[in-house]
Amino acid sequence: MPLYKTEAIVIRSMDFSESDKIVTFFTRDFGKLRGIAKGAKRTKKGFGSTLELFSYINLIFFDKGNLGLARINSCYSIESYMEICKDIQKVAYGSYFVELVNGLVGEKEKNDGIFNLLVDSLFLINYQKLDEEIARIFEIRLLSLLGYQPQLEECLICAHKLSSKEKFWFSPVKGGILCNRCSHGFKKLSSISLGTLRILLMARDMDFNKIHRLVFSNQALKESEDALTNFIYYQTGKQLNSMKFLKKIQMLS
Amino acid sequence: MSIYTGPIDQLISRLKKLPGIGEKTATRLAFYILNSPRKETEELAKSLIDVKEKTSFCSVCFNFSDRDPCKICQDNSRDSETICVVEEPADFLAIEKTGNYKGKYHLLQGVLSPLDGISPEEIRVKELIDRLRNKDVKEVIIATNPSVEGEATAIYLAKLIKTLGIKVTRIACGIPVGGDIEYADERTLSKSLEGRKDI
Repeated sequence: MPLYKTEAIVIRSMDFSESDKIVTFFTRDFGKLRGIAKGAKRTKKGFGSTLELFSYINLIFFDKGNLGLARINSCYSIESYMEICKDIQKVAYGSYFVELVNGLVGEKEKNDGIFNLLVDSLFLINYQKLDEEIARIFEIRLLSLLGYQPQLEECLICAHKLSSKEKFWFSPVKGGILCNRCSHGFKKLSSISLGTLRILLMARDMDFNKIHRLVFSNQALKESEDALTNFIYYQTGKQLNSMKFLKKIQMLS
Repeated sequence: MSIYTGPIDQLISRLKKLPGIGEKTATRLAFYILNSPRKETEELAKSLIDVKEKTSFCSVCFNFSDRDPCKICQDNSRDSETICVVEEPADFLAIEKTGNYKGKYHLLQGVLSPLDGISPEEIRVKELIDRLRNKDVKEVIIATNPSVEGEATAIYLAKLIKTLGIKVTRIACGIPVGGDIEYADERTLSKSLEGRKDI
């Protein structure tokens, strides 16, 4: 069995058997990968905290090349995002990112852009004050990288460009915006203003190093959340656990 | 498909559902039961029924017990001013085995986990807060696992408990006894440095 080495982020970690763990990684070179870490729960095995959720590691593993479980040989920490654990909301946002990647990316589909987006987004919530914007930024960028990019520049039917005179609606079914005239007869539409569309386009295209400068208005937060979460729900067919958790935590606090 | 039919096949399929037991172990256990004296098998069957019928949650600490309140909650010699919060019965057993802890317990019966959709309402958080409000408790020791979910649960609980004016402590994390600093990862080492103490 050949031995491989790659950078990876732990996106799911589950106890298995007496002391083993089954871990799902998103790797830079092999995409989504599931592996078994024998004896990972024993302290003497040396995995330590490297198999904890969100850990950014150098992963060394054996793989037969089929879609079965890889055998994890060893891991070395690159960044453990320790600050995320100190805030339940940050854990919820981080979980939302990894759940989205786990749910939308197929096994062994390599995507360097998504890997960088995940590393950078976890870095942002780890080291900076948590803002709801980051979830919307992550969603729009991930959808674009996956090829599900919603059409936000013009009406999907008549190609009417964005303008302050026109009212637009977002259709999760059509995957983009519709102008007022073309929206008749469509269901599950949510209203989306010109300001929200412009900030979403910036969130999608802006250099990630400058993304922390982006500030959404309350209206933009509400409208973009409605549009993007409905679109993701339409694509995945289920409501994500971490999103439900986030809503409950926000209600309790 | 199993080559056995009827009761043997049924027993093997039931045993296979137990955690950590695969086809081969289930078959081995099934034949052990088949070859053992009838009395021993009857006792095993009775124990299985009894554990379901006679065991329930203690209404104070939410540990499994055959009486309510459980033996530990009824024990007046234990320090009732200190409560150790753990995730599940296996963690309670591990702490009890040390013999160093003489306070009482509270079992959350889980841990906050966004990926599994386990929110504070799904675990025994409300019951813990109610217990702390009604009893004279001086210290709560949070002994959830040092995982991402365990840490987040500890921080969440600490915030809630501190509003009641009760001291909250967290079990120490770091290098295990018999471990090696050279092979410890950065998170473990950072935790051990944060939790250092005077000697």
